[in-house]
Amino acid sequence: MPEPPREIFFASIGELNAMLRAKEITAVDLARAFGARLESLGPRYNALALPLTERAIRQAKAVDGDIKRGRWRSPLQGIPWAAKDLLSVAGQPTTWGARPYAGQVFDYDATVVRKLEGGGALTVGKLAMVALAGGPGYRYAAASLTGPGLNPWDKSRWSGGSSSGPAIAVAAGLVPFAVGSETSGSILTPAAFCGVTALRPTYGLVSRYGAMPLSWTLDKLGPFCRSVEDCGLVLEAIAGGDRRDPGTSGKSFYYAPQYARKINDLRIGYAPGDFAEWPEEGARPVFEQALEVMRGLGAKVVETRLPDLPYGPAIGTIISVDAASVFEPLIASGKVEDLADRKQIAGLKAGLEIPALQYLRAMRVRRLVKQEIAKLYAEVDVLMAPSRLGTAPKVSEPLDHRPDRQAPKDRGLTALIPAGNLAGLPALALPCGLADNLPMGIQLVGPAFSENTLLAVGKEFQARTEWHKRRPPGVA
Amino acid sequence: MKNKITRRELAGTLLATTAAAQAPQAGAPDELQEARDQNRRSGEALAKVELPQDTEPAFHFSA
Repeated sequence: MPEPPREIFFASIGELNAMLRAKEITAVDLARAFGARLESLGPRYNALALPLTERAIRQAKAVDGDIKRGRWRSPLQGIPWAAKDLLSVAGQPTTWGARPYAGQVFDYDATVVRKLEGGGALTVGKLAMVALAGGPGYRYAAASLTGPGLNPWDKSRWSGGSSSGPAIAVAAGLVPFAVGSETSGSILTPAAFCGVTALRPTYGLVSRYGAMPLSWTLDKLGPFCRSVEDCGLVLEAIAGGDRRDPGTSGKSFYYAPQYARKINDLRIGYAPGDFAEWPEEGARPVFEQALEVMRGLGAKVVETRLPDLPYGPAIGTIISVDAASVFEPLIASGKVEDLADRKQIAGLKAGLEIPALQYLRAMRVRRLVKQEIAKLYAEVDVLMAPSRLGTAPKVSEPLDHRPDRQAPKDRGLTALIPAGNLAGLPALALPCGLADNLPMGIQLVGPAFSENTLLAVGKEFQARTEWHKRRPPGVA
Repeated sequence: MKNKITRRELAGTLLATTAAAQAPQAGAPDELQEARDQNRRSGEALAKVELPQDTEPAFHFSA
């Protein structure tokens, strides 16, 4: 068979599935093509943790056998994908992006891996990440075993983290989709900086069995894809209860945007200052245009704001204590010093000293956050805000450097990432334009288990925009 | 002079290099103190919230 056309590298899951059904391509072709591309281009962006091409080709041979016999297991059958390196694949190294765990091997598959492979998806590799998913904070993009995630749009810029590899791999056409994780911002941030579509599911919708824990009541796994539609297909495949993860809700997910509420009936809440005052100057027209597109969908766009609560201090305290507990053996052994980022090392050690009363207070404040946000959702159906207020920072810059300018008075929805994570809410990340030739993104956040509503709105947004189809310059 | 290096020696060299690279330099911030200060500030911000006495912590968390 001739070499597959280069268009496959930026094709959607639906398009690749159609090619497989039409027998224009085989699963083995896809495994070989994407495996080779991931192995050759992945290291250029520090995106590859571990290639699994040979394993994927073996899986693909079985899938092709099924296809030959007319057995279709799922829309992901024969589609290559890759996992953030905090998901275990039996018998393969799982480094959690950190030198102390470089030789770690589990003898079981993460539930997400098992479900995707059960549906016929082909695992072509493991993807880079910020060490220990970034917990409880880090100063430099280089806080990773594989070095800083380099943005395919401009390699002098950071990819965002902690799911750096998944965002890079999808943006550069190294895989059709990837699975990453978010505790507070680790899906939304790299999706925004790399210009890809991604979904942070409701807490408990996707099993985390076999995934590195960072914070038991905050960790979530979600897809990075080429489109909203693809996010729906992947979420359907990975969602569902799992007795091996006590955090799972037991709910399933069926991607059915056609049954979601009509957009004309929806109220989308936004804060004007989030679009006109808070962003970097060059990004403001991009966000204001995205707001206009949203208005054009027919939804009622209404002004709102988050209640004044200490979202950052609450989530910071919870992550610090949980991370210190998870990694207590690492800290006690002294191997914590082998991590690449001194701020992260210090944060882990300091987390051991946080008083129990402070942790309990953070968890009590979290209860208030849930109650107050529930009141907000009596007035709106979806919240919309910029995912990040500026473009990706330079790789060499300290990430905790704050711009030297007066912050606007009204906080609007600027704390939506910590607030949404504290309340366990789903969020959809959508590319919405370029500022200084770098991608920008917005987030749509809904009540718990409102993924189909978010996906329906996102699908309409992408029907009217082309930003999710844009490729980084020079990436063919 | 030895031409071969054992794995144990290699590991020791790598660790020593890492430790040297991460050794605090003159003028470098005291990261541990900064992390402690950050945690203290978080505690102070949380303490300002008026919590009804019956507010239970969000354990057994579900969305």
